[in-house]
Amino acid sequence: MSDSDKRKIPVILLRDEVAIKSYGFSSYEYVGDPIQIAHIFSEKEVDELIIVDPFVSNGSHEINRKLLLSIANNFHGPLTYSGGVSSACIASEIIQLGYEKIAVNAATTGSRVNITDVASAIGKQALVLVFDLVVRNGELFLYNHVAQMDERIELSWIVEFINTCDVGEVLLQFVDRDGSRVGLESEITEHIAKEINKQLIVGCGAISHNEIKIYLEKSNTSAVVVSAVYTFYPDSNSVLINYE
Amino acid sequence: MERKVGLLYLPNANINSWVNFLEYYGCKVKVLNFGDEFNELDAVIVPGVGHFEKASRYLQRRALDKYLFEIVKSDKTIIGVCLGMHLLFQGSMEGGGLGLGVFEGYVKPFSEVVNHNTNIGWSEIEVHGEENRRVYFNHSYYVSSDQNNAVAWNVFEGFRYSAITRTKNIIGIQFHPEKSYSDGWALLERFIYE
Repeated sequence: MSDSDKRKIPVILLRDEVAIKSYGFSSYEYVGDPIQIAHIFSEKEVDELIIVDPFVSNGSHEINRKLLLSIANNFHGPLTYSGGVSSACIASEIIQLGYEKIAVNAATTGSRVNITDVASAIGKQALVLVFDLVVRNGELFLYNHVAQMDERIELSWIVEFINTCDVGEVLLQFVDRDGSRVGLESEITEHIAKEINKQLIVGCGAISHNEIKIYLEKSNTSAVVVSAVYTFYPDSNSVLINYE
Repeated sequence: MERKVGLLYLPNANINSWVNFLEYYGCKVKVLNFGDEFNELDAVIVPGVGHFEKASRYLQRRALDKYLFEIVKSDKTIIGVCLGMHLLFQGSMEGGGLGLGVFEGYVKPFSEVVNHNTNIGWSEIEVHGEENRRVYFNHSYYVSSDQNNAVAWNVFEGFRYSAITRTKNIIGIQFHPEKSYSDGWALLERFIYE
């Protein structure tokens, strides 16, 4: 009997029914069929899988429920969905499709999503609060997909926000590291991890399986979200869906 | 031999996950609403995901609490999972509201006993008289390890609590067997096929 293991979570990014890889949340590369990729991750019995449709959030299309259902039908592990969930009703609908958790973006809470409403429908354990962060010239910014702009914030604001929100866990994504393979962020992440009472996940920038392993051993985070390492051959951009 | 399993419809439950899981392992699945015939079923599952108070109100409004009691009396196997397990207790501190009271006791928040308010992830659980299994948990409320009917246990931040609770044909499972790959099925299979 042991405490929960730290999780390694692959992510599938959707665009027009295909899986893509993003770089700095601004340029994209084709990866493959998201249903096939979900099936491969299921065979590898990954800890969890996150499906993200960033283009729903900026209003370019509706949530593709048919695709989300097909993905859920081909994946037998824990599933999280992120993108355009703007009400408790939509969150419930996605859960019924076969997803255990819904992620909502901190930059759109209040204006588009009422976290308390969503938590009281699906339970706080099923709710993930996402911060898309940009570090520029030593300052911290919160990136807003809907407005496609960022806003300067203080670290203390993030901590206060997290501690007053009824969510089960928090995902920090460091936008400028996305697809760069420069390493997972630790300074800001560790500061936040020590100040909050929620599980903390960090995403963007992982270099290799070994770095992920060492990072999880040393950090106070409970999970990492990984894209490039689980999508490509090491040191190349040829697709190889892998997990260890 | 194929087993027929009923799945109680709850508005925020991960219904499709359960249908996928049970069909993958060869069960025939019927989604149940109030009054649906259950005599031909081998087991009925009350699925998880959701908020206790909302789910408790939904059961009462739709008379599903009375329907579940009928199933309990029929000696069918009933398996409550996560929130479905909590609903089998007398009540929960998640918003309040009444459970079915099949199991004695109340469901309490982790925030009262450990640093983090939610246990999310994979743990190896201790199962009475069996080998340990690695299964997936996602919950903010727990059932005490002192509960008389506990038959499996888990630990979160050093705090031990009940992972499976059982009395005769009624089983409560705190983790998500439907998301725990083959170890989840290995545990669930026993209850469905016994």
